[in-house]
Amino acid sequence: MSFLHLWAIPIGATAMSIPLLIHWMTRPRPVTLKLSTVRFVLDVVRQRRARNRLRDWLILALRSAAICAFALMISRPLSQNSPQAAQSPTESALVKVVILDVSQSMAATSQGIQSAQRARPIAAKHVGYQSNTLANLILAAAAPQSVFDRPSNNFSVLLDQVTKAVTQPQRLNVQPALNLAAEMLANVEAAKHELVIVSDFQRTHWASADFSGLPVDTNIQLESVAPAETAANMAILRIGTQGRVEQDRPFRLEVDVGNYSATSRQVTAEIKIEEKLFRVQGQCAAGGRTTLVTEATFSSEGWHAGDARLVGIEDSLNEDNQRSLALLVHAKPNYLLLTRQSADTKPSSSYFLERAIAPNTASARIATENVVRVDPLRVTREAIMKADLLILDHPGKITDENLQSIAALVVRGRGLLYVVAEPIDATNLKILAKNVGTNLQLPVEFSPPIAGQTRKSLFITEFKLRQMPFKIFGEEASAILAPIRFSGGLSSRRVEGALLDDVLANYNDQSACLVVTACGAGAVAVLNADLAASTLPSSPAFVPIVGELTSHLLGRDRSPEAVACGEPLAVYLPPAASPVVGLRIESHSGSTIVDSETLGDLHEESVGVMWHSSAVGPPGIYDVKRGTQTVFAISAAIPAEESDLTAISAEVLTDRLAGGRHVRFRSAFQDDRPRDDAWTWLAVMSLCFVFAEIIGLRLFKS
Amino acid sequence: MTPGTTSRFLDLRSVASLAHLRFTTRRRIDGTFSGRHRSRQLGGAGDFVDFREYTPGDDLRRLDWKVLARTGRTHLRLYQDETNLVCTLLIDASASMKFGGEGRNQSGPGSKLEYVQYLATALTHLICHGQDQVGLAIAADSLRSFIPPGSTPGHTANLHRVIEGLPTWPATNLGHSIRQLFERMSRRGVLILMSDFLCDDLEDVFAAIRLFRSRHWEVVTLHLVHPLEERLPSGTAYRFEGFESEGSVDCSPAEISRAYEQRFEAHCSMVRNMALATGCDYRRVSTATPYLQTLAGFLVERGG
Repeated sequence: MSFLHLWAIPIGATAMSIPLLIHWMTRPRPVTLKLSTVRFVLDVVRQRRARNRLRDWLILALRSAAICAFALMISRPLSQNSPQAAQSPTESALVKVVILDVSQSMAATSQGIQSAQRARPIAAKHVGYQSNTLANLILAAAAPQSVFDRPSNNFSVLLDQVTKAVTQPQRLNVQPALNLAAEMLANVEAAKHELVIVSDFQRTHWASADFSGLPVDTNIQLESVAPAETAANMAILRIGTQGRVEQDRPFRLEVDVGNYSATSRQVTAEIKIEEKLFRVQGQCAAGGRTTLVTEATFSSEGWHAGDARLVGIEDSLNEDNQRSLALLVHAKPNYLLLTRQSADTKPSSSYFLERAIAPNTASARIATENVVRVDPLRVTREAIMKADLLILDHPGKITDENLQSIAALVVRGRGLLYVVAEPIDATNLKILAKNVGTNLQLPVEFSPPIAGQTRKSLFITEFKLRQMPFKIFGEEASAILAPIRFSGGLSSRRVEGALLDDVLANYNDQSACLVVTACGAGAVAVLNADLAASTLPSSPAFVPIVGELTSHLLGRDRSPEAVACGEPLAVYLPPAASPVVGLRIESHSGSTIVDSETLGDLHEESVGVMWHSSAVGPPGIYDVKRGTQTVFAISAAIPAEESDLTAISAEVLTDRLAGGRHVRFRSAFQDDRPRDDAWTWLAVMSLCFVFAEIIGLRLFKS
Repeated sequence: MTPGTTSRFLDLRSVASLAHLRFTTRRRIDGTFSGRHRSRQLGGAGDFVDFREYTPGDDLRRLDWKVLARTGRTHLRLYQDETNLVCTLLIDASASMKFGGEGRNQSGPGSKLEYVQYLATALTHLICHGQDQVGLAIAADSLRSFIPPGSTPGHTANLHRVIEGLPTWPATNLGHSIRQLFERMSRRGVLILMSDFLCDDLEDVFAAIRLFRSRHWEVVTLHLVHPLEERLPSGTAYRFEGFESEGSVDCSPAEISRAYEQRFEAHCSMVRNMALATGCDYRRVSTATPYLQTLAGFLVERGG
């Protein structure tokens, strides 16, 4: 038994004495009177003495009970079976670790009260002083933070930390917190171990929780502050662009909106990017998410900051109703075509590629693409570094220095399209893979064809219909690709343990036709054919395939749309951002106070400048600037998982995830009900006692 | 007018209105002297009332010789003697008689004792004025004072003086006092008992009265009741203290007033029933009634 308002108990006790005091102070002073018939009065009083005594005690009992019930009503007794109820100072030592969820979802409001506000008194109750007990507090969000390195008996500090605990715009990483708690519990010898978790127990986080790492004798007390019915919440889960955003080229701006409520909602989002304002609307089904799309065009290249916010939405979690965006508008891409073939040689493989990439060059219209044809033997490192996409076709032997530059460029996000047709290309690929290191693992190993073997009239037998570049053909892909005959190229052999899904198409001789694989932040595409000897360039599928490939490879250098707050950050800056000297990190919003640790640091690595931060700061945009120019920007946002406030069921936690531990689950909302019932019944009891007193006085005719 | 009377309780002007009334009795009485009251003796000096056949032992002087001569039968002539009345006032002088509603902030009659003093003074005056004898006995825890009956002016003045200076005693033993009085009374007469009968043992009181009755005394009981005794005062809390060492009691009159009234009426009824059962005349006298009115009613009722 505990009390919500413990202060009411002494007040109630005082109140109980007040009527007695008033009675004593205002009791009638008897007037002394001589009476000859006092013997009759004595007889009557003697006869009524037992009755009066019964009446007096009854009235006093009823009056005291009424006041007692009233005082208890004010004190709001909590009829709960506290897990500490069985603990007494005489018992052996107890080690207790309290995990307090301070993730973003704890800021959700239910019945006008934040979950965090409900959680604090519960956690405070568990870290309150208990003799012969050691305790510690872990504030759990993206990374768990313990107050002490090991359980301590300094309960005042723990209480202070509970009081100061505020929600963080971060997701809850459950397992690290559990592991930290398990380590603390296991390192202290005690008769009893107890783990108390105060959280809203979001299904998205707790479905994979594993308690088996805790000591076997640990009693686990789960204190849920999630409402019985999931609070309705709308959220912007993502804001980004589809594909690469280029200067003066329309692009699709997408806003993903999640509707975590029981009813379908009409949602409106306003996207403001610097001076431009976009308004998107759409219907979002109950429990689903929808993508609101608008088309935008930016004429100026560089980084643009903006944000999106939901309009007219009142829900339980306001923090996820807006999201910032760091948008990089690229200048027109630079294609670097490394080939030994002369531009004048027509037709040639490189010619077909050049025309496929820049189809308008030959026409009178303004060229939109910039393809630079360079002989690999004369190419400079600067030219390579300026390229947005590297295209290798019949390059011959490439120098190691150039291959290293290409490798560094690809790792840092640039794309590479390699049309392998000559035996030397296999060697180039091997050296390139060696320079890239573990960042590149081709699913197949290309090698020159066996002597005497001619690769001719090959056709595609297997291809990934649902993936780029064949996806754009839809169901017609087979019909389009079937007549195409390929010649030349290299033999290929599958690499054990490699990702075969990267092989997008195979020839009828089981050799790879098209391979696209990630390489660091960039990607490498290998087209295994001699275009000049194949019918592909003359096929209507050629330009779309090349276009899809280049778009995919150009998009590989896109920086992440957003990073999760509180999560570690390690991202390479664009190659143009080098060197690190002169770069600084700052928050885009000047009013946001962000410490240097949160901003992270920049350091030069072999493949470029890396921005590292142990934990990303609060939501917003963080810029890397050189002077006044932004060379890189990234948006920090609340993880989308925090928006789904659905709580995991108690049975799952206590049964399936318990891992053999004794787990007890209790909801603060379930506790509130008997609380309210208790005080209501006490009020009724108090009134009943008052009425009983009145009836008693009437019956005794007093 | 009674010579030498200086009692403040005797208002001759008021009593004069009752002078035509006299205290009498329906029964025949034994008197010392010739008077206006019928004597128990049927002698030859009074009025002829009847004949009666002679029986051996009768006084031959009362034989009607003329009737014997005419009829040859012996008859006695009976004559009613008239004698004086011998009355004894027995006044209860216990402390409870002092009750007069003091401290109740009410205007009303005085104490019962004062009322008795007025009544007894007037009564003795009237009895003596009627040539009858009157005595006085004061009862408390014992018979405190006794003045044998007399009728002289000096005797009356003495009675008035004693009545005027009548003190009270803190204890009551009325039965014992009556027995003591009985032992000192040699002749039968009329006993007038003036008391509030607030004593512990009413049975004992009336047992003592029965002694008088057994000697053919006529006993008149005047039950004095103060109107403020009939109900308790209104108020929230009182500490009632007795006059005769009954102790005190704290109570709220509102809680017990009804029961008290019932108890008091039961007491009065008991006194009346026991008096009537003993063969006494009973009269409840409220001190709210003027004593002259009470006296006049009493005398008229007794056929005076």
